[in-house]
Amino acid sequence: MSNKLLDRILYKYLIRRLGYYLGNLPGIIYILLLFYAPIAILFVISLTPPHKYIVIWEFTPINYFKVFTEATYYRILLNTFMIVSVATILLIIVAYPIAYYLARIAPNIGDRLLLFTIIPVEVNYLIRIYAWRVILGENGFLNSLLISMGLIHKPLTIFFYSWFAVVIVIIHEYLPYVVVPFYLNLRGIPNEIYEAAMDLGASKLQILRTITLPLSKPGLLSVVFIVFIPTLGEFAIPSLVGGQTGLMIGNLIDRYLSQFNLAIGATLSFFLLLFSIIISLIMIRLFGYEALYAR
Amino acid sequence: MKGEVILRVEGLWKYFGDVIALRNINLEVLKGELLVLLGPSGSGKSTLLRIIAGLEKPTKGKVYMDSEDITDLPPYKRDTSMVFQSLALFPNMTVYDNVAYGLKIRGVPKDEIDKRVDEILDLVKIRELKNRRVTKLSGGQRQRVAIARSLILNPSILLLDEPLGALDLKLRKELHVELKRLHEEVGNTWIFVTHDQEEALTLADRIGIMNNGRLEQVGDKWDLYEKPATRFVAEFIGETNLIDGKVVEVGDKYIVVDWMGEKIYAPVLENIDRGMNVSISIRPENISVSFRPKSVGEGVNIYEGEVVDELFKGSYVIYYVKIRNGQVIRATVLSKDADFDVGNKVYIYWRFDKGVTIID
Amino acid sequence: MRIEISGKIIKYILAIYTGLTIGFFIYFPISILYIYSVNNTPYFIPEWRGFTLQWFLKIFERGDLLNSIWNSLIIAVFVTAISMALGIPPSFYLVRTKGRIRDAYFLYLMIPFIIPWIIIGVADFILFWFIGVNKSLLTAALSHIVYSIPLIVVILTPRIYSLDPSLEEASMDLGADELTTFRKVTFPLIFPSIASAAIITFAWSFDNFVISYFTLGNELTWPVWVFSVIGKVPRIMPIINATSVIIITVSSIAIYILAKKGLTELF
Repeated sequence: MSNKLLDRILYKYLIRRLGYYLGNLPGIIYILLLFYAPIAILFVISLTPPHKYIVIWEFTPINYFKVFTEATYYRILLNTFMIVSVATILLIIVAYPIAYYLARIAPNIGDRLLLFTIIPVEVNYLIRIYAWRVILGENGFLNSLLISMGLIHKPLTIFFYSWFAVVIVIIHEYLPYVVVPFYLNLRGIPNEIYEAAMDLGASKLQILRTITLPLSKPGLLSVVFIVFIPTLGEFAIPSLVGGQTGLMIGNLIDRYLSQFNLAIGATLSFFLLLFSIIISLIMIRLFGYEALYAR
Repeated sequence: MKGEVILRVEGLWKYFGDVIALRNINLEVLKGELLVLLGPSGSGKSTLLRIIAGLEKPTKGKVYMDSEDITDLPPYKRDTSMVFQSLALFPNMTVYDNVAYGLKIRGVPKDEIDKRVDEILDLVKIRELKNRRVTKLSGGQRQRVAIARSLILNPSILLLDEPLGALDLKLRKELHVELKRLHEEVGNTWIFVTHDQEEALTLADRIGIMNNGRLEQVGDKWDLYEKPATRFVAEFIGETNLIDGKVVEVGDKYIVVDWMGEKIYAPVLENIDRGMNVSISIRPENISVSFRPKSVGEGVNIYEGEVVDELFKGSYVIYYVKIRNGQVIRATVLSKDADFDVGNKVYIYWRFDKGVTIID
Repeated sequence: MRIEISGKIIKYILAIYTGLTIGFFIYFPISILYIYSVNNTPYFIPEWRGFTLQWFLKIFERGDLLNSIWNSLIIAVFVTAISMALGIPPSFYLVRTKGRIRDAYFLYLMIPFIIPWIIIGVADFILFWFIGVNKSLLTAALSHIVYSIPLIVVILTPRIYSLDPSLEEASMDLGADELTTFRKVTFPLIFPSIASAAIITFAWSFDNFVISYFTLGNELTWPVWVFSVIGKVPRIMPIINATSVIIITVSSIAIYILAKKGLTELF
């Protein structure tokens, strides 16, 4: 074997291969240093006794007991879970008919319409939350409308600074992102499937029940990743429109971090992390990685 | 009763916008037969099938089943069932659920469904796959599920839209035998759409040839082969030489056609006249080749020519013979008699009635 | 029993429903922003007080506002550049490799992606405190990248996966080496995907609030600055509102033009 050939082989199979693997290394190290290492520190701190401004390097699981036994904590954890669940379920109910309409009845406008609904919710998240005050607030549009219709006499305050407002704003923020996976999913079902069901005697409702809805299940799973898990950690929305009934775990974490009570903040964050990972892993185990991709 | 007309299509036209998909289709389908609609893609055969199924409405014309007008009936009110090109199996269901679908929709009791599903799965020989998800089946198995799902409803007419299109050649050939057996066992009427000539010849009792939205000819395979009604049919089924010319003389038995300076005899047709343009189809295997001119009888075409090319096909050889007017005629000779070489002077000849006269 | 509902009626009901729902949840609040940006009142009350452009003009009087937008732009550019460099190699690797190590690697990259953003914010908040680094624009940008690397992987992998491998094979068969093949064949084919990954990353980083909130120092980004003044600084809402209107308009037009030219794919 000539030297030149040897060089070529070395170059091709070692250096390039190596380059191929090495290309991954910076990313791996980056995520390790700025995510997994901090999570480890976070976990260690979550095991220290709660204290403001300083961390006492003693280890105890007491914070985790506190979180589940003291009402101030677990009430807000439950509240978070309730708000997020209600918002997710409502989003699915609200988004599915839109996806169905765009995919099955008006496919020619579907892509464009979705583009036009996504673009405006890509930016200026905070000011859009604020805009809802004008709609839902005490002197807002909704109250004016209800008063002018004679349904109520005094402005209602339940619409704003409440869990209701949090749910509405979450729907605003995530609606296009929930329509998209259902839309793509429904568009992926070939027309012949519907024709076959019709040919075999199924009515429109029966087709919806036996074919369309069951085949939409992958879209449903994407929604867990798109809405449910991310909004568990929502913080700006409850801060701006949530009031007392709309408090979420994000507010609690913020409160303890701004008091520099790191131990409690870390405990709540670590709990949120575990909860999110467990739900994700169950989803991935049950339905594969595809559910991730619609996010 | 076998032989009676079960389905009649009358004067059917179909437009998709400005595109004409079907032009004046008239067709009778006989009870119990396996009719194959054969044609290249875009010829309108699938559209015709979808109109028969009720999935598409014709622009003009009528569809009758057992003399009843079904043109406007939706698919589920017709006694037909469709096997789709993509098969359209419901991916969220098992084999059992797919096959039982039509019966469940009709509210048939569970134990009766179970019994009928078992029977039909036995018939298509996939009973052991009953509880398998359809996404976990091979191509041939999916095929059987699709057919079982339609057959379980006992349709008078089973419609099959290129159902073997996605399979490889070997599997297709196995399934041809299987489909033929199924058709004979079930005994109902099948209309089968394909673009594959060999598939059509293997399966069909009768074949309808479609081209460019027209139903060119319907008949059994021998009819189509020996008496093609149009140039398209002559060329589409088997190999042929198509000779174009002008009629110069009309006799009792044959006509004389001028073919670029050569005379050619061909069978006479009704309402044929001098001066008409006709085509003559002559199959290569009907042409004889020899070194010496044979004694010429009445109405025998004989031409002197030169072998310009040969193609060895195993049991036979195709010779390309260039005759004096410059045209090349293909003739086949059995390999054991194939003594000719490129460059040889030869004579080719055939009796007029071996050819077919076509007025297009 | 067969329940027959006329297809036409369903179509109309669904069309009206789609219009009303998208109108109420998406466009109603956004149109409110537009209306109040030219309404001659500093208060968000359901009343029209006449047309004005004063809020747009006042944007330029607020140095802190302009500064926060500038900071957001700098962070977004930095985050996009670094996370593209770190995110493109794993995207190719993950598509072209199989096996347990690959799956584990995928999960390793995806965990920061699937969890709520606040966890990244808190974890890095504690990290910077722990190692004694002062928080700044840089620390916020570094924290953003934890999320944007997997974001790019998620955007790119399905598109790389759908590339026809025979094109690359044909190129190599014709004598091009891997590098040339990547430059001349692969890269042009996935350029629209890379462009859309960059745009989505940029927009995400520009608009991210939660991670920045926990990892910024004294210099604020646009969303964090807005959060810090909402309800606290009087008469500032209409100015913020006017700024948002400009941002929404400019970004919508830019994304629409890019999508129309086929330079990006949004989904």
